[in-house]
Parts: sequence; C-alpha cells; structure tokens
Amino acid sequence: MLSVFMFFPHVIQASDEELCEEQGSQCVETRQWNFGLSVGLGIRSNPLFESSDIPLIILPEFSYYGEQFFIENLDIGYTLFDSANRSFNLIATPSYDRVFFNRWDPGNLLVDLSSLSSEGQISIDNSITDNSTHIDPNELSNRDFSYLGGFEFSQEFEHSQIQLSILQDITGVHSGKEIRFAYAYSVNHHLKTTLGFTWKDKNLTDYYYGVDENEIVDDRGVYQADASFNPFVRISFNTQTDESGNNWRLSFEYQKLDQQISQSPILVDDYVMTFYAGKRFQFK
Amino acid sequence: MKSINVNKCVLFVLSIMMFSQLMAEDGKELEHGLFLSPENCFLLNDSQKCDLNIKVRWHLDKKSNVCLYKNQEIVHIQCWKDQSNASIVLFLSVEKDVLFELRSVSGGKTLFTAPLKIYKEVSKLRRKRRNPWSFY
Repeated sequence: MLSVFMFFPHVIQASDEELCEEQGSQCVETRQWNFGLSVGLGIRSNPLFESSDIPLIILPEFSYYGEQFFIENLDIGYTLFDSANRSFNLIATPSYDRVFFNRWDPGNLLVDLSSLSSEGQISIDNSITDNSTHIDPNELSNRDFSYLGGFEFSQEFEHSQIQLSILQDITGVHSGKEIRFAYAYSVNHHLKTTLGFTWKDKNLTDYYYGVDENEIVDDRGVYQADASFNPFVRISFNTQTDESGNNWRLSFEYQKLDQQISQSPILVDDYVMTFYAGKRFQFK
Repeated sequence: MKSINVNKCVLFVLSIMMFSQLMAEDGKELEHGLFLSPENCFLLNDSQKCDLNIKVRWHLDKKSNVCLYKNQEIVHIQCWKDQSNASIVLFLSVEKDVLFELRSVSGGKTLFTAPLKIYKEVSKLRRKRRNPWSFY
C-alpha cells in the first residue's frame, strides 16, 4: 500500500473542467448525493441447487463523489490518479458471493449485477430434497459478509476501455483474493460489448462454494474448491439520456462458471445468464 | 431457464459482437441521434452567462423533414427538408441549461433531445468512475 503512495506522492488530477468538457465524458457534481432507480423486467438464472431464478424488477442506486473520495452503491473508493484516459483508485467492494446465501444481504437490494457472477437467491421453498449428490445451500452453515480492498486501474481508448481490479479480503472472513477484469468496446453512443472475467483464489472460492465435513450430517461427500476463473460476455444497449438524465437500457450477460464452482454439490449449472430491460431514472 | 441451450446463447452473443464490430467499421456517422459539442459549459468566477459557439449535429436513419428547437420554444432555430443528417453552429449566451430538440415537421413529434448543461463555480465537477466490469 505504501509503495503506491510513494509512486504517486501527490494526487494528480487534470483540470476537472478540461476533462469534463470532452464530448461524451461522464461527469458528476462533487459533494452531492446522486440517487437513481431502474424499473424494468429482467431475470438472472440461478445455478444453485433447488433455487429459483432471480427476478430483476426495481434496482436502486446511489453515489457520492468528493474531490477524490467516492461512494458508488456498496463500493467505496479514493482516486489516486485521474487523467483524460486513465485512472487509478483505491477501492473497497463487497465480495458479493454472500448474497447467494442470504436473501436480505445488501447486495440483493443494491444489485451490482455483474458481481453476482456465481450466485443467486436461495429459494423460498426450503423443502429438503432426497437427492443423494446435491446439497441444499440451506443445509450449510452461514457464509459471512466480506469486503474486499485493493487497487483498481482503468484505461480508456478511443472506442474502448479496460478495467483491472486486484482485491483482497479486508474483513478477515476468508483471507481470499479476487481479480476483476473487463474490456468494453463502444460500438457507438448506444451499443456496447464487454468481455471480462472474475478470478477468485482458493480461499475465497472454497469459503463460499466448498462444503466442510462439519456441515453435512449424512454420507454425502465434502467438497473442497480450488481457485476459479469465471469469464463473461455482455452486450448492452442504452438510449440517449433525456433532459432529466433518464434513459432506457437493455443488457444481456452470459457468465461461464469455472468447474471448481460448478462441480460443487450446491450447484447444478455451470453458467449464469442475466437479462435486463428497463428505464433508469435519475433523481437529485 | 435452466433448459436454455447454453451453446446457442453463446453463439448468439458472439454473433452480435461480430455484427457490432462491422457496424463500428462504418464509423460514427451511423449513430442516430442529436449531438452537441460541447455538452457542458462552465461559468467563470464572476460570469453570469455562458457565451459559446455550440455545434449541433443530428443523424436519422432516413431522409426526413425536421426542425431544431430549444427549450420547448414555439419558434424553431432551423429546419431541414428531405435530409438524413446535418449540423449547425450556433452562438449562445445563456444562464441556464438548454434543451435542444429535433422534431419532425409532420406531426411535430420529438425525435431526439440533447441538453447543454451549465455549471456554476459552486458545483465542481469530476469524472465518474469508469467501471465496465459492472453490469451498469
């Protein structure tokens, strides 16, 4: 951590006005809360055993930007460097994996959909199955909420951008690490395609998707997961924002789950698909 | 949902991505909409108005008769006949946000809108975090 501050002894920022006058750049007023709400129809497939797909109807969002500090839903960050085409942030973000195990987890209320890479919502139907190989997640002990902290780098090109986040558990829950990467290509002002992945180390993957010996009382086997690599592809279409900042959006994402996750006895699918179509409203 | 053929879905997405690339090769001129340059104006310390030249550009998918308006005024700024794209440079001296509208002549339907945002000194700006990993 210290080495980063030595590398960037002072916060370096290009003129805000200069950056924001560029056509197409997305700017926000500082020291002000921003609230939004997306209303629409969507669904996310649920790879969990005995679990229902997740409906996506109303998705609230909020953000606050200081000169360097920012909050975006459940993400908290501090901008160390920002220029016309690249930025470098310190970031704290939920691991999100826990939303799978707790219906009322904050991540289920403030849905950062891409982060729900391999999780879903536990079925309201808690009936125990007699399946001999799969395990109902409700039978397992609680998975705790955890926050990841680390660095986030993003680079912008003429029609595309990349983002790389290197994160580690900062709450002492599982001591896991996670790497998030995305490459987004803007076909035009409305259409964007994205390729990316989420890598989770052995500790993180096993904490959420492994099954320990003391968690099961019958003859179904324990499961120990190794590190996992979960690539995704996404296509999204946004209409032009109106005078109030509202717009329509349509997105489809397919995420392939690593075998280390999909072979867990609490999962039945090796993919997660997400579709959402709705209108986003911006409030001030 | 679980019975959906995954391979077909992947193929579908990849096809769309390839189509997207082809569209991109045709360049920005394919974009439909109403576009401003610049989109923002920043008032200096003691200024009350933004004085600027603004380029307004529009592009439609077919030739049409359209007019450009601002702030829902009855009188148009300019009209074009049987055109699919055009641009105009305007000089503005404004204190508040300006909303540009492109309307069709027949029926007066609003086709596109684009706001020019005016920022005063008190509202300092910074760029939003770029977060393509996120679904939004």
